[in-house]
Amino acid sequence: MNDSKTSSSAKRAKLSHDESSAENKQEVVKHFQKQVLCEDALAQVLHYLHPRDLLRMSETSKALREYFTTAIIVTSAMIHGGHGATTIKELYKLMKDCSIHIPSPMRLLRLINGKRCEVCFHNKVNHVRPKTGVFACWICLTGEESSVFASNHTLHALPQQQQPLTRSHRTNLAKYRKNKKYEAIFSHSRVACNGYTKDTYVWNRKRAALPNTGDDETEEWIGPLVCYNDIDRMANESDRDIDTYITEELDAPQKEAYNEFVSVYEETEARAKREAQLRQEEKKAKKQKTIDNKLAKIQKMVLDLQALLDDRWSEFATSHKILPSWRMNRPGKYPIVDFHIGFVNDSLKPYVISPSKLKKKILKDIANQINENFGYIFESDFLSFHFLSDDGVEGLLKQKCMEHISSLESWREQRIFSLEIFELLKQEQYFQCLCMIERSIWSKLGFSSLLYCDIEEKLQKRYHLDTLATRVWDEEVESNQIKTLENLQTTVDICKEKVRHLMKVLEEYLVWKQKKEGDRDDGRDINVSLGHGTYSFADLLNKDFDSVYTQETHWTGLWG
Amino acid sequence: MSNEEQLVTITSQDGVGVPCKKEAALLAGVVKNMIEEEDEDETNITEDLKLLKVTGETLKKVVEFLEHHVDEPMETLSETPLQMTKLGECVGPEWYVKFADIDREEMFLLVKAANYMDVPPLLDLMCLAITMTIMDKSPEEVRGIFSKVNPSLAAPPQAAEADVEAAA
Repeated sequence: MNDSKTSSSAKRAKLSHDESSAENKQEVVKHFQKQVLCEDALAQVLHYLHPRDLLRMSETSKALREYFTTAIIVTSAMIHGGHGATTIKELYKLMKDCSIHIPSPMRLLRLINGKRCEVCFHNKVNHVRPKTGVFACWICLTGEESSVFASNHTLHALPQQQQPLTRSHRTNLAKYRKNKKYEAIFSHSRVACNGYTKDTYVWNRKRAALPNTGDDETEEWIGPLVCYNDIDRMANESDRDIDTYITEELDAPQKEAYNEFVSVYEETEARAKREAQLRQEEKKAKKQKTIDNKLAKIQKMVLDLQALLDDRWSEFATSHKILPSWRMNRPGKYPIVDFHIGFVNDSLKPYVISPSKLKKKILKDIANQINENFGYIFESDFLSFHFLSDDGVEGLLKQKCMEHISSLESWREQRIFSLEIFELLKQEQYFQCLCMIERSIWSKLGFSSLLYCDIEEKLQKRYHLDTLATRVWDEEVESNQIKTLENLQTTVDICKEKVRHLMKVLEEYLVWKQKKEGDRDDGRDINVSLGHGTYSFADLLNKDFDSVYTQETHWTGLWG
Repeated sequence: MSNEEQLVTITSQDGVGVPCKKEAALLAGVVKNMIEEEDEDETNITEDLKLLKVTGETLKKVVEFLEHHVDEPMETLSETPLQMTKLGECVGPEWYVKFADIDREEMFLLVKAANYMDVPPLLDLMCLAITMTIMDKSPEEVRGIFSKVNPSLAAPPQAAEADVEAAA
């Protein structure tokens, strides 16, 4: 009885306090209108402002704050886009369902301009959390720290005394499954909850925004209307339905009170979309302009560089390609052009990212270095391969080199010219230099044919051997890099032995295949499986012919 | 005599009479109403157009605006969201930008006058000009702008810092 008396007197006191504060506000507003700006003018000024400026304005005077309406703030946030617009979008979903406490205009302003969690004031947040409408970090929302901390050690932990904002009902328990009312509660539009696997998360307890700000006369409730304990109470209520419980017990606002926000959102939505599209197009055009400007600057840089280089290699040294479009997305961070020559690319990379940083002196230094390095190639007459004799393996290598890589242009597509190569040239270590040019040069030179030149006669089809020899050679070169002439000779000998052994296995396989297929031999070729099936080659070495045969069939099916 | 040639004299609260072309004066809603009422009474319209809430100095500026607006109407080049931070990029022609390049106090007085006299283009221009002065300013700077007009705004609102903390 006493409780009810206290409660009613408190309500009366609150009511009279509300009335007097409303009168005060009216006074303040009138004073402001008289002294500073009339209502129409101020409304127009506010209509032009960005949410960030609105926040600053609100910090200027109490009188000004009274002008901030939900409509002004929602419209400004939606039209100006960014995280503020996302916040309004998330709030709209909840406001439409009437499932959260209605945010005051000042709270809306704080939400759309927020940067840090409104609970811990530390962790970075971009926009309000869906399903709750609060500006909170994941840790404050769920209390789950382990997974988040693993990726970011600068985050603040949840204080020990503080409970997370949400709490879960384990809805797979019998209690929830037996009482059908739970299902109705969790699916009710005014109950903001989030189901995840066997848990359904709801607002933990009633909570006020920014306690003790001293500014607002009354506390402002934030987050969803329905809290953890309300769920069980609602389920056990026999007299009242969910809507009635929410209105009577939770002191929830009438549904009409949500209309202002919802209608402003819906009226502004189409315009906001148009603005967002325009912004996106402008951004795209701006980026394209940046890229075009940068490409023009790079082109000029290349022409300036070419003018400083020797004619024999000026074009070759500055050959480049424009990189794919994904690189273009961040032209200030990644180079958008790639020079074919390794050390030229390394030297110019910082200036491709920021062309304005390239001064004449730097360009001259780079040109001198290029001239010096390419000078070594011509001074040492490297491209005549005079350091290789004409006999045996060396002779063959020389012949292949003369055929394939005797001019700079034949190396154009290879990023081969590292500074290390020029160091070797300076030290007259020509063979090491040749080996460094690129590992794949050995395949390019067609060295594999050397490995089966004396056993070619024994097999019906030459390309079986060619496939085998190429595979053997590539694997050997991959695992054992050739750096000296002796090394080359040894590698050739090892590979020859391997090919000789493998050839016998291959012959056995062909005989086996002939037996298996008999008259049904449809001419399927082992070359197919060897060329494409990595495992079939290994299986062949293990003499697992069945496996090779199966794969061969498969590949024939695919490629035949 | 046509409206273009006909002159009316508008008198301010401090008794300053400012002559104005009738055609221009009709752009102000308040003056238009007064003239229409007098036309109905068939009295001499060049007399007694007194505005009780506008000072002589402000009235001269308003009349200057009205007369120019008749010859060369103002164009608003930018709608919300404002992409520009200079008035010259939002309104045209250039004359209006120079016209709005005045003291802040005068700006607020013109807003009041435009609102009282019901001159929408002047209100738009002055609101844009005020917006440009407020944009990207800190709360202290904005307070400074308003406190010149009303010194009682010099003190910050209670707990403004708390809001700043929440938003920053």
